[in-house]
Amino acid sequence: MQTRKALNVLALAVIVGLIAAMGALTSPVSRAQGTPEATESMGGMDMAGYGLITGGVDGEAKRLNASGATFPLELYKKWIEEYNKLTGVEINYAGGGSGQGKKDIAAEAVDFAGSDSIMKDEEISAATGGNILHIATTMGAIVPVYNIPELQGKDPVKLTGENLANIYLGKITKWNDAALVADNPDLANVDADILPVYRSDGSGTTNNFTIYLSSQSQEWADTIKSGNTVQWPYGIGANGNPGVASEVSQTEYSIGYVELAFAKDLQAAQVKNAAGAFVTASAESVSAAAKGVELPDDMRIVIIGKSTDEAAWPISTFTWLLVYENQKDASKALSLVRYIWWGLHDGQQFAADLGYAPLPADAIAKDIALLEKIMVDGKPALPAELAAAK
Amino acid sequence: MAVAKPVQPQAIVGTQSGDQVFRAFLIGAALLVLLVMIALIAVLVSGASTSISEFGFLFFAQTDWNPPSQLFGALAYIYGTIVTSIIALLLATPFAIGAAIYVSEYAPRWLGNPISFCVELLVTIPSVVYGLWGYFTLAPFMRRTIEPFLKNTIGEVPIIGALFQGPATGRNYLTAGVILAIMITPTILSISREIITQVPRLQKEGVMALGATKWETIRYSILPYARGGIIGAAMLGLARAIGETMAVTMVIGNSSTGRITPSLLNTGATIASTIANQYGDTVDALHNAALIELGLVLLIVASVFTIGARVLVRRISKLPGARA
Repeated sequence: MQTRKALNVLALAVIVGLIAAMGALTSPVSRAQGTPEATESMGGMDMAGYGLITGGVDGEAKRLNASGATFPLELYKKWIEEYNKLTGVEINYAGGGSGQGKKDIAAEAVDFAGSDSIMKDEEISAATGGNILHIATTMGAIVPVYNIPELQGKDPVKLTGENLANIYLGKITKWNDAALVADNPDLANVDADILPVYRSDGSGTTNNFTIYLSSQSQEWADTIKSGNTVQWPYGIGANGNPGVASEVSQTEYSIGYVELAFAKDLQAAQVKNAAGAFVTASAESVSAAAKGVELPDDMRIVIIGKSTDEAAWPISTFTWLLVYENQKDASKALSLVRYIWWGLHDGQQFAADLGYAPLPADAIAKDIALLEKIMVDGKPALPAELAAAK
Repeated sequence: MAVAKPVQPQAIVGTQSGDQVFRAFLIGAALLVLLVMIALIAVLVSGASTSISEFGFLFFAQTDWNPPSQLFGALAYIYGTIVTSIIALLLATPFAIGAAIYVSEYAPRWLGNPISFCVELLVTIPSVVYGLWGYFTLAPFMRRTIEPFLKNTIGEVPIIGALFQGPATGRNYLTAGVILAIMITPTILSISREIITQVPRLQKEGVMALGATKWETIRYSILPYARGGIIGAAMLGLARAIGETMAVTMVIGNSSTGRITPSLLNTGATIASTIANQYGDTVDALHNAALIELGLVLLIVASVFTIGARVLVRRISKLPGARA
């Protein structure tokens, strides 16, 4: 009896420790007023609206709460840290996943939320605070990674969307399958079973990857479909991007899918895009994915697999901040639009290093138009001097 | 001193009301346990109501778990839970009982005491620690050494060979069963040891006086007496195995194929591992309700085993040689 009690206490201590560690990760690092010059010298971005926010202003809330997507978390952590140095505004982005973000914003439990997938019309109309805007903040990519010892140091494997779908469907089971060898002569002698690795936890990354596979394979679209959790016909499940990356690096002849930032130390495949070219995932090829498509004014678009740009990485996606169009608290609204403005301009420089891709200019223009629609007390929340600078 | 006298009658009255308060507190504490149980079931049932009314009994009979198609069946996960728990029980019980007998009957005090202490420590290790060890050490060992060996030996035998087929991945029912066995061994061991040491000295000495060997003493005097308690210990271990989440999730491979295949080398999933994996990021309400219903199913599975264990213990206690 005593030992069980001790067990419970220990387990509790571990949980508390984990929560504290997560809290430490998401909370801003310092409260200190930073030097705006430091950020400016790093920039060199030739864009109107860049470098306009140089410190805090009167009347803005000094604290904002948010939750949601973990896909852009590394970038948001950097933004939050830099923005805090610059303005002293503390932003607590609690993560929890896109689903959590959508639930929280719909219930007005947070000031804004992050999501990798767009909210459906009925989800928005169910929200208690009115219309919700989708402001794209950055672009991310999902990259197929594999572990084939024979190909170490050689050309990357070239995959078509259809072959990728068939691997995950269990229809292509060997690396020397004729369909793969057609694009990859090097694979002819690799007589090994393919072990597909997927995310076991519900995830926006899985959602985007399965949206891509559905767009490439009719069988996938009919049977497995797309979602945060799907019924994988074959393979092994691992937890989170780090879990999939570690599983692939440990297991020979496996294949997995991870965010761009996690593909660095692994063998990463080239994937054929809609223009028919095999491309490598990089910040440039991901940014290019927003070019060969027409962006709608509300930015609610799934661009995966759609871009006809020659250089576009096909499995690229926007990630969004979800914000109420009509804000209730003037000080929070001011703080919020200034932060998003800063992210869309000054914040873009941090994207590439962290495994994301900066937004192209036309996407930023559409985002700013959305930012101008945010109202508080019947007036635009965006300060006039910022609105004039676009 | 003079004050003490008038106080005395009051003190008696005070004791009586204290008795009543104490009694009320005890009743309250006992009722609270019942209340928590009822509240738990009520919350699970109400949370799962959309899933229950959508699928009814099919939830237990279907193996497909396909959130985008809004199709949820728990059978593959129920199978995973039972199979891993039974592997754990089969592997852990002989070792645990053997070690318990050694520690309490054979080992000299200077050895028995440290072993008992270590066992108590093992019980308190959080499951995530076992999980990490399982992920980084046990799973690769299973993949490289144990699984190829099993495939090439038992795997070649007809019928039971079906249990060991397919590629060695190190993450499967078998690895999950092994890690569960390691986790529940200390539980079974420490309770069994306690029960064996409670066998009356007179009973042991009586058998020995008739000329019984050490083995015969254990076989005819200790084991019959402790049988009920040892089975109870094994069932406590089993209960821990059924609900174990973290360590299993890390080594079972988290399959979502919705197929039940005989091979223990296939990746699998249990009820608890599925809840842990999917609960965080569900988007639609039916998926959420289905996960809550899984929680209810886990409660049912655990209850069935617990009730079964009680019946078994009662039966066995009535056999000859057992404690009255």
